[in-house]
Amino acid sequence: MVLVSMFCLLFVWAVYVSGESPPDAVEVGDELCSACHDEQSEQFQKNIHARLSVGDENTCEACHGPGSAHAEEGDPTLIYNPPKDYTATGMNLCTNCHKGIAFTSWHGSTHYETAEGCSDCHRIHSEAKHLLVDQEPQLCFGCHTDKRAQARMPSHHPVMEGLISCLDCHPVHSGDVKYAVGDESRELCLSCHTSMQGPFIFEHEPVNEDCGICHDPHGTVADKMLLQNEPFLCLSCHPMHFHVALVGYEGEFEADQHRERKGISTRDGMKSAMLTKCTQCHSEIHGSDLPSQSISGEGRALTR
Amino acid sequence: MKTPLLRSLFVLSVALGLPIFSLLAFSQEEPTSSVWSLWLGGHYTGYEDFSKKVGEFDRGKEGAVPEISLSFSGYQKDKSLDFFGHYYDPKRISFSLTGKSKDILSGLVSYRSFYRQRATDLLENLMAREATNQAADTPGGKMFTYEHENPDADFGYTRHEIKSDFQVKVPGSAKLKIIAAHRSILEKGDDQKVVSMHCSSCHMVSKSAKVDRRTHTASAGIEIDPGPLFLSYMGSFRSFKSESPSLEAFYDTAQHPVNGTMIEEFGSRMVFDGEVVEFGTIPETQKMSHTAKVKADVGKKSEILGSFTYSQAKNVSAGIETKSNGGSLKYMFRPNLKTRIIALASLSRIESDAVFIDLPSWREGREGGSQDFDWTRYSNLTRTVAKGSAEFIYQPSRKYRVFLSAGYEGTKRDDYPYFEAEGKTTKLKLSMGGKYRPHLRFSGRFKYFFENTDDPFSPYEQLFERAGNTILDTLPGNTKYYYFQRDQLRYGSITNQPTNLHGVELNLNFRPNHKVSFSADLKASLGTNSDTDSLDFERTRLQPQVSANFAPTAKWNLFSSLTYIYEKSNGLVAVAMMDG
Repeated sequence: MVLVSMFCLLFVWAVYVSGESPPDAVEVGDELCSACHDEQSEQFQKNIHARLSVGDENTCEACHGPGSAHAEEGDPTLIYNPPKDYTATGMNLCTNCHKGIAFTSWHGSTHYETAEGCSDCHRIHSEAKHLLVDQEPQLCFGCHTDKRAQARMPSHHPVMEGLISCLDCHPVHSGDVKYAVGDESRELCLSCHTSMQGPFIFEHEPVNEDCGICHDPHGTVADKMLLQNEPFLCLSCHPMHFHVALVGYEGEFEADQHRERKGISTRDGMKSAMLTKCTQCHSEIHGSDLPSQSISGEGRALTR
Repeated sequence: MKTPLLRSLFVLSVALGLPIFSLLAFSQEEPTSSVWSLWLGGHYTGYEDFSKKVGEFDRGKEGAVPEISLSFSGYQKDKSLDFFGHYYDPKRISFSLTGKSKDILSGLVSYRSFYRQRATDLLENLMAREATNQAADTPGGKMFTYEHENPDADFGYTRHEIKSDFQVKVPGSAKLKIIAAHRSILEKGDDQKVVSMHCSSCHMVSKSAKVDRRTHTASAGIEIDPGPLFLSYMGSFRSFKSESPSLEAFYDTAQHPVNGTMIEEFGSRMVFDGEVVEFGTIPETQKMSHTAKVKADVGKKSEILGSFTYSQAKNVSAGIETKSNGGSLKYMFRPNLKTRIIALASLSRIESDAVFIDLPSWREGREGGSQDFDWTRYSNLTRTVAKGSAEFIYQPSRKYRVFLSAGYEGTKRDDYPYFEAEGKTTKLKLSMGGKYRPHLRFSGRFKYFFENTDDPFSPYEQLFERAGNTILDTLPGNTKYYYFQRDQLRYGSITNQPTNLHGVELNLNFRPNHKVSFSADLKASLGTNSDTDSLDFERTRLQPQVSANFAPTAKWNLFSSLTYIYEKSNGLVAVAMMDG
């Protein structure tokens, strides 16, 4: 209730706060712009924006707005400059053209609201691929520094190696949900890891719940991008198996009913067998249609 | 490109792409600008002092391998065509071809492959026999043995991905765009499959399994943009099928592991014994989804976006399915140039089929036996999820910005009760922060966030056991207690999900000139759960970072960064004592 009340008050207050008005100005044309900004103008000729507006005499002002006031006074504050003015004025002329499915959720998204505007990632006058300031993943890692470190952990998706891209999971302009991912955690992961989609007859509940309960997709020290290695991860929800605490026989042995099965046991042998890697036996941990062996276990041990 | 299917898909993509790209071809009359580069080189990969890890991608083919990349970028007036291809080693190849003509026609065809290392689990820990005394010199009955059919194998598979995407604005109607896309993922190779053969002694057998998994996704949709209103629809169909042959294993005749007796007693407790059965089979699945979106300007100061999605995922092999309906609304309001308010709300409903599990009768024909263990598997995926959030952003000047946001998430699971919560998890979120940017050379950001979760997802009564014999009843017609009855004695719940999560993020950037920049970050979070009736959980994360960037010219960029991550999970576990 406190939060709701706070927002209502902020909302009412915000409506009555007056904003700044953009200065009155008219368009003057590219020729006048290039008279002063000759260096940018020359570089801009190979830029995709310049090429797509061949024949248009107001290419500069299509993004910077009318420039007569700026041209007359020479004052840089009298023209729209995206890196400086984007958040201050609330204008974003980029979205006049860049719209469609890829941009439906752009307004109001975390990147839109947190960054300084499009120019944080895009150098609008450049010739670079997608006009990016830096190519990804380095561009993304510039802000998401923890992900840069995680991408170098022993277990990680091959992003640093260039085999997959941040954009494969994070369509940064159109992410509808948290973290700009294309879909909820489960569905996003299943779009590549389809063998785990199910629905399975015998389920492992956290698989239905959220892949993030067991995995961190940006990288971990543990195997398979698990939050912790086995058995510790499994033991954070399940009790240890019975028989774990049994003392192991020290010496050579063979299975009395299967003489070909033999080996050397140690005092800690039962612990080592039952407390090293749960998925050696519970191999179908993401789900299975096949029942496990024990009737009293109701067939749901995910062993086959 | 070894398989006929892969070749066919490649040919199909190129065949579809060619007409598009031919339209993009440059004419001879217009001036063309193009840049191309060919890079020839090589690399060496060595595995000395390197332990291959299960589940990782391949670092590269061992030894010296030539490496080639080729790129082309050309444009003519308002048409452009780009190609990039890279050969790293036989298992790692990529290329992409993109083209665009005005803002009317665009196309993309791409391919990439890499090798996923699966390595081999030698199962060497699975060798043990119980001792019946503390001196460990008298062998008992329980034991583990294993058999590895391919101990020298180096398992792994190559992942191939082919994508194509074409968009065209309908001639004469710049307001209508048609989109068609396709994606195929093919995984081929060998993997390790382990199967346990209970119950005479625990005997694990490792077999080699062929991997031949195929995922195909086809999508099509339209966009209509008649002005203040934007409408779109995308339909998508995804299929998955494993073409690998079924694996089979012989499950031992159930018997006492030492003296070979009690064959009928142990056998009557098993679903199968003394027979060959399949294992490791991956079901064929399909998923169909439809998504419609509408976006509209509401006056000059606000914007609203709505979306609705219906999807149906089907396990074709088992004949069961999951249906999902969901809708969301996003409202953005800008009362003035300094203020923004963003509100989000969504509601979704997922229903997954229940399955009746028909099991043989337990200890059929034995004294006190013939218990019926049939049950119905209700899915915890069946649920209703509601979300809502609001964010307030205020920027009084170019130098400052502050924000405050709050959100709610409620998940009601129909068939997964967590005691006292009836399967419902509620989450409240709060975050606030600000930014200070006195000029383009310096910026600082700060953020604090908090999440409170009431009854996070947790396995239901999995831990600890009450004193048994005073609570349990023996089975009808029997005087003994059995292992499975111990499940009824468990009363504790345990989870790795926090109930309270606090986090802070601090970032400072300094750019004395356009060639040099420095940054420093600190991110920290603390997640705790002291609400379970058994064991507390705590997860701490701390990540400081400093970096420096120096770009003396447009072609040189020297970057260095030092990041440290400390993460600690503190969750106690219950140790089984006294033979369980």
